[in-house]
Amino acid sequence: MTFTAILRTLLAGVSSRARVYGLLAVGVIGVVVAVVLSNSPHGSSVRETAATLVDAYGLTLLIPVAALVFGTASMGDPIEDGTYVYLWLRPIRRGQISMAAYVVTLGLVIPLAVVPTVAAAAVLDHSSPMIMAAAASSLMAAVAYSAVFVLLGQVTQRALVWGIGYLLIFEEFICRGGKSLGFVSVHSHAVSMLSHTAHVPMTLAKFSRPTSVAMTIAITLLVLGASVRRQSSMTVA
Amino acid sequence: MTGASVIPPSSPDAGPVVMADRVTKSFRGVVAVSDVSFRIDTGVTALLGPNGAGKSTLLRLMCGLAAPDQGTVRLYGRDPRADTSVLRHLGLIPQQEATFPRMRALDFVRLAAVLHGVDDPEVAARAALDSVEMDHTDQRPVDSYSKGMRQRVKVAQALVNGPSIIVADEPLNGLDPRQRLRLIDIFQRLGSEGRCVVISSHVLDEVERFGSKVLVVAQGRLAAEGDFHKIRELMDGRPHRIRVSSDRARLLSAALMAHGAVSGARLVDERTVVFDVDDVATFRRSVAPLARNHDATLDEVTPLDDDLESVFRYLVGAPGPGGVV
Repeated sequence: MTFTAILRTLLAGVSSRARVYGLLAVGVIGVVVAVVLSNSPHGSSVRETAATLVDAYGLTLLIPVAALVFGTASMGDPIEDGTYVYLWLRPIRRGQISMAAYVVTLGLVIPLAVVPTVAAAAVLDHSSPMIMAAAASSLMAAVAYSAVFVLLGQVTQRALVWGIGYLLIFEEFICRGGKSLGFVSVHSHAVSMLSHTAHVPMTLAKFSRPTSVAMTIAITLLVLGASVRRQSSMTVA
Repeated sequence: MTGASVIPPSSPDAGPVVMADRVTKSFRGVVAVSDVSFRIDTGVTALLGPNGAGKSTLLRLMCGLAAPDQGTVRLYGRDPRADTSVLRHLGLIPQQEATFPRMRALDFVRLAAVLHGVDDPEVAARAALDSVEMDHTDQRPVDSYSKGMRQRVKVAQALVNGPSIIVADEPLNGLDPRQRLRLIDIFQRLGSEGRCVVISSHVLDEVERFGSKVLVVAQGRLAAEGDFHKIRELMDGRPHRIRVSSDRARLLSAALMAHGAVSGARLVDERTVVFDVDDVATFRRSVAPLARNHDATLDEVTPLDDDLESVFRYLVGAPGPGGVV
């Protein structure tokens, strides 16, 4: 009952119309692009085009941005406006707040970002391997990015700026440089899953599927653990 | 009927309710609270001090919202940051106005009840709202309420679990006189029921109405502690500065000095003098007859340090802007 109450409160706070409709619009654009591509002649195979679209549109843009918007706001908004005290100063296990924020973020990222990504892939190539690849890679990205941005919203009031910096500099620039840094990159593991499942060679696909799944889970648990741990040491306004 | 009478107070172990021992807290290098120690028992206690004195920081430390850099804070002997079970006995009315967006008052108060593990959150939330004269059937979101209404909803969420410690940060801000009286009545009643009510305020008259024990905080330090009336006497008995304007300022100064009504005088210009006054009553009785006797016209008699800032400066013994106090 406590967890549900926190969940509902955070969900109501984070799911403003502007955010939901904004992300919905970006999602629709991706599907429209897929429709346009499916009706245009292009040199690559349909599957390669679909995989490229999932990577460029879903894994690089829509999913991380949706996770950034909702993840940083889930705890960040109440911390910033001072309402966080009404959740934190209660005789509860405070880790529940972190977990509720994560569930809320994931619950919004899946319908607003994962589903459009899979739909866009399906428009171009509705074979089972492609749909499976799009779904698995998108879910992996959503699961890990949501955790990362929930923590970021908890630790800094400039979470959006730091989040964009993290995505652009770390995920999209540094991690492309080598396998060692790619090992801790959410994007690298999601692309590896996409590539191996869809059987499409991709530059960032540096890891096996078991490794990618294990690392995605590890990154998620590590970050969520840090968020839960941070609850007891944080200063609340 | 108040929430206090609807919901019986919690009954934690006996001992000092709130205890702070040599507490220091800084934010980004700025000392907000310095080496403060006190204990608070049941009844109403006011934390009095000017804006920026460290009252809110002390309350936050008391509730466990921030960790002290040095020293310890205990509620019923327990650390409120480490032992969240003690929060079952605590109700906080924070200073910030924000409430959860688009949430009705009943939902807001019920959320507090749920998180406190109250048996019937719905009934408790209705009772708490009724106790502050808020309509629990109101469908409007709290963020659309007036400041006074929001304040009362915040009070309701703090009372919904029947806490034995109620901490309120400037709770009367933004309320109209009738609402102020109502809240003061509620806090007094909670105190008389054996609960520990800690209220911060920068308004002296407000604190006087609580008729309470007082902790005076100034510049992050505990300046005075004890019964309000004794502290009030101390405040009234401090040296004052009074500015007098007259067409014969020099002559009037000499007469007042000779009469012993002032302890010092500083000529600001040919028509204005600032007097140091130890006994305000004697000065008041003397100034007009002496002016009349010396054929001087009094244009202005203005106390310069009746504001709280100067009172608190006096209590902590720090020099005022002019080095007089």
